Amino acid sequence: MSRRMDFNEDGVLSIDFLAGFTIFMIALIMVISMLPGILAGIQSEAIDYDAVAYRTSVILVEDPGWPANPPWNQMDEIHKADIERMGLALSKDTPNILSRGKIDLFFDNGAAFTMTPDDYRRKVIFGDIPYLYNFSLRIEGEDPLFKGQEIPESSYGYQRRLVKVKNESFGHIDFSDGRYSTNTEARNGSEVTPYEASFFVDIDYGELYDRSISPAYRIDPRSDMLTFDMEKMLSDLDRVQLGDNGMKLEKVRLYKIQDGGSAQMLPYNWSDWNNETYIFYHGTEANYKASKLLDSSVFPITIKNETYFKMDLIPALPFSDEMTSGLRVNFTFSYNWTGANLDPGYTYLSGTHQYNYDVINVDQPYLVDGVMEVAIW
Amino acid sequence: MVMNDEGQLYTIEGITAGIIMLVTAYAVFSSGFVFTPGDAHIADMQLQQLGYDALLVMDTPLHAGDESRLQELIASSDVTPFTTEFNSYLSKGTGATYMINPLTFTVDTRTQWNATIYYRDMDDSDKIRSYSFGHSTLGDDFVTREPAISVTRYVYLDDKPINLNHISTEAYQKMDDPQEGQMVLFEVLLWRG
Amino acid sequence: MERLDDEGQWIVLMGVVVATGMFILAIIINQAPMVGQSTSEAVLEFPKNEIQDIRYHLAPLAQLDNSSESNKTIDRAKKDMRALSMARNNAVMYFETNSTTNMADLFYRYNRLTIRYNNGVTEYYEEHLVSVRLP
Repeated sequence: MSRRMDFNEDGVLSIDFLAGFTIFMIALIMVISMLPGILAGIQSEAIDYDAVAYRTSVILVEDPGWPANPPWNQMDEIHKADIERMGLALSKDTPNILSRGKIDLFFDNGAAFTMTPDDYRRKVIFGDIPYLYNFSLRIEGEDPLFKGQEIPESSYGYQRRLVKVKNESFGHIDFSDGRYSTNTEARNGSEVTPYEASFFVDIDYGELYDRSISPAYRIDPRSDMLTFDMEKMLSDLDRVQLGDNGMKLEKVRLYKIQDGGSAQMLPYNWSDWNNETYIFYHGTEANYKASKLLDSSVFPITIKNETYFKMDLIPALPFSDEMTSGLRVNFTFSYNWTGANLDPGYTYLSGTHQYNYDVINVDQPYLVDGVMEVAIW
Repeated sequence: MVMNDEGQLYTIEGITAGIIMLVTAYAVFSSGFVFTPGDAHIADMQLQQLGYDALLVMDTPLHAGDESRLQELIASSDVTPFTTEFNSYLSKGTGATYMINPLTFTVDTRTQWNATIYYRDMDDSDKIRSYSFGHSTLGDDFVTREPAISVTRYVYLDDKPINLNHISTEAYQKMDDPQEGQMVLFEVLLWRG
Repeated sequence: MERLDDEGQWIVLMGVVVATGMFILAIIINQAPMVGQSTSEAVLEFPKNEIQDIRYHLAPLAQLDNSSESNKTIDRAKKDMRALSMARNNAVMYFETNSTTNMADLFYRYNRLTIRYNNGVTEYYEEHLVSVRLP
């Protein structure tokens, strides 16, 4: 009898317990409903990946990175640790417009040094988890650039961005197009031969570095590569007087143009022609890349009909932080005239080509379409 | 009597259990948690960014001082080229993810859109009028479509668009042609088809 | 009767177990959309692209001089943008340019541009100097 009584009391206690527990449950439900953020720490990874991919895309596309001035892509390998953020935008005022120099370093497209996966995680993705990533950029008309691992079939964060990429300026100096006929001067034959004369390409930093022009269209000697080429040097000259090998390029030198207009030669080692400030190419237009000039042993270069020169001035250009100064590239040609000095006299090239915002002188920077995909997982 | 009681007690306990479960379920399902698939909102975010990007790149001129492509198309009321170009911006990818058409780098053909231009009425009130500026293949279907995201961009127009009466006679009559140029708002509704 | 009472309790217990399980599962499943929604809503609500758009279009206006013609242009843009942002983006937008500042250096004159933007959620205020190249 007492045993039955025990069972009975157990049962009553259980129902009691259940009733209490149910009330507790209902209370718990209500509490949790009222505090929806209470368990926000539990995250779905796929969702988190999308947020990280979005954030990464914003940094890449809308942020110029840090340091911004001078841009981080001008750091050398020793100072790689000083790069804090790898944004590809030109400036903070030009979202979605990307810089070539930053793209080349970021995607390891012919850059001086490479970034490690850890650099990408710490300088552009940010976050404690060692995310895997795939960045890709396709500029219209060019091969796509990729960085990272192969994207898995599913569950990765994703963001696609449409961008513009700034193509840098290019000065074409074609002596056959008639504009340089005024640069051809006449000499009466009393001078010593070979006669030496210079042709200048002048880069006025004060004129180029114009803050009222958007960075998207600015020729910025501090962050843009300035390139020019030269061809058909003989076209306006008197070929009979010059003969076959009468004109030679003796030397190329860089000068700093001072405030007052006087020019001073820069103290470089002029036997090294493929360095961090300038690269000089010579050859014919079709194959100039094969003949990057490495040392000065080829000087003087005999000028033929098809002779082609190209020069890259690599940012930051010398003294480009001094707005009142400028850079002059001085081409010294020598002329060995033969034959009679008929009217108007022996002809040679002279004068100055201004590298500026005049579309006649320089093909201005322009923007091309691109698309970028960011995947994080 | 005893047998009857037995049956009733099982029932009572069953009902109790059922009520507990139902109350829990009701509380869970009606407690304000959102039961849409998790990536629905994420897709909205991606779509919005892509839409803004597309308008931005179309409104960025090639050279300094040029007219942008978007300005050009609005000024000449060229809806068909706009439709083609806007579609190609929305669909193109890099090749890193699955492509529907690898030759043209097409990664997305699902997105539908409908574009409208808003302008201020020429009577100099704050009245806003609008005219349609094209849509994607299924972009005129406002009945069965998915919820849409709106992206906008201001576009500066030097003059009143030409050929406007081919698109909207009302806009042709009501749109101002101010000497000093005007701002219009280009709005695109985007959704997943 | 008391004995039967005791045997029936597992049903109620199962009910409780199922209810608890369902509840915990629901919580876990629900965290995913909640996080996705809050991230995405934060992104969707913040008018980053609108502000970038406004800044892009106002910079050239702020570079204009103080002539009556430029004032007409600025005035027109001000009215257009105010009405359009109110009607379509539910935002109050106001800007002002001042090209009569006497701030200048060797190369530039500086015009002041003030932007105010408020869509009820985000309030944005910016005042900056726009460079105008001196001839």
